[in-house]
Amino acid sequence: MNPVPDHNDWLDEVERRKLSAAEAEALRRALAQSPRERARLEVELALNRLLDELPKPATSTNFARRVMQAVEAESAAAERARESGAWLRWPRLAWAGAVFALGLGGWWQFQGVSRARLAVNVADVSRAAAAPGVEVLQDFEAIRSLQTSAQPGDVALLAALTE
Amino acid sequence: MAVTPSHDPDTDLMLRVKRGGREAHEAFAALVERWQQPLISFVYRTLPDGAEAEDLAQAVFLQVWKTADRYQPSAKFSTFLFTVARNLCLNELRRRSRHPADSLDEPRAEDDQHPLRQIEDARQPSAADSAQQFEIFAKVEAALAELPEKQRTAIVLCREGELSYEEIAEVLGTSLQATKSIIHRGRELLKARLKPYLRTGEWDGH
Repeated sequence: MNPVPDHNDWLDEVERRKLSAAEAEALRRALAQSPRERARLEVELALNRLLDELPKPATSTNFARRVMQAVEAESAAAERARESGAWLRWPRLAWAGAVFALGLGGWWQFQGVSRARLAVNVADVSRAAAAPGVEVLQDFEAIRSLQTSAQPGDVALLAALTE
Repeated sequence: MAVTPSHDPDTDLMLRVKRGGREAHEAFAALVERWQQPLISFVYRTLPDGAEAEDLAQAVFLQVWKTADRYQPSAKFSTFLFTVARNLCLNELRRRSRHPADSLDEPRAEDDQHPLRQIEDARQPSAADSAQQFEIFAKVEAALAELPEKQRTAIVLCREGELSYEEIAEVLGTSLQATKSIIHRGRELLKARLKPYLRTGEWDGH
């Protein structure tokens, strides 16, 4: 006598796929020894039958044609968008070029102004470098006071001494 | 763009879509033809409104077309498709909860020459259909609609989309074990709600 198939095994098969009439009959025979299991099997098979033979919803005979028309329209719209995109690309490029040129001009101008400022600063520094050192000025106050207190007689004496 | 052929014909078609050109439209038309019914069924089970289900399914296909360049052949096309579908359905449900009176689309004028939709009513009962059968289908649809979103999505993808547990796990963003558990819990709820029809054998499926 063949053993009764495991409940979970046959249930999995019945739930998973459509059994052929021969497969269902074989399962009935296999479960004949267990009336309880057999009754369960009949309920599962009856549910499958109900689900499988549920009427399909009404479908328009022109459904596929309408879908393909929508697809053609979509393709045409995509093509138009691609073409108009190509024309739109030129003004966009022109704008990008103008913005780039303005940026480049501004940068050159900034560079020119910076160089001019640098040149002025370098000139100032070189003038400062050419001036005498501070040690020259250490007796500046004494010499200045000599100059302011010098008398005409002193000048004549100095002139006589140098002759 | 370097792409490799695969064993899945849908993946091959999607790779052709990804490559672009005239061939892409032909490949996509084949995918739409193949997947329209499973997709509309899925959307309809999530948003039970036939007309809006088609609009949303169309939006899903359009989204797939637009994002084809992101498609990776490692994923099956069905997984890619239903992931997009689930996301759009969830967005729509959120939008509806914020603006309950709004429809997905504004009403559009239709003329007799080019009707917006040409409905072939697949739900018209044949002579063999019984009122009882329709009542049971209505009960099953209601029971499905009452399930939590993840359970409903998983069960619909499993039974109607015929996705594997691995693919459903990818769509839901859950582990394989969690997906099994979600489906099992959903089925338990369905069995509880449909108990009278499952136990008494009133419905024989024909």
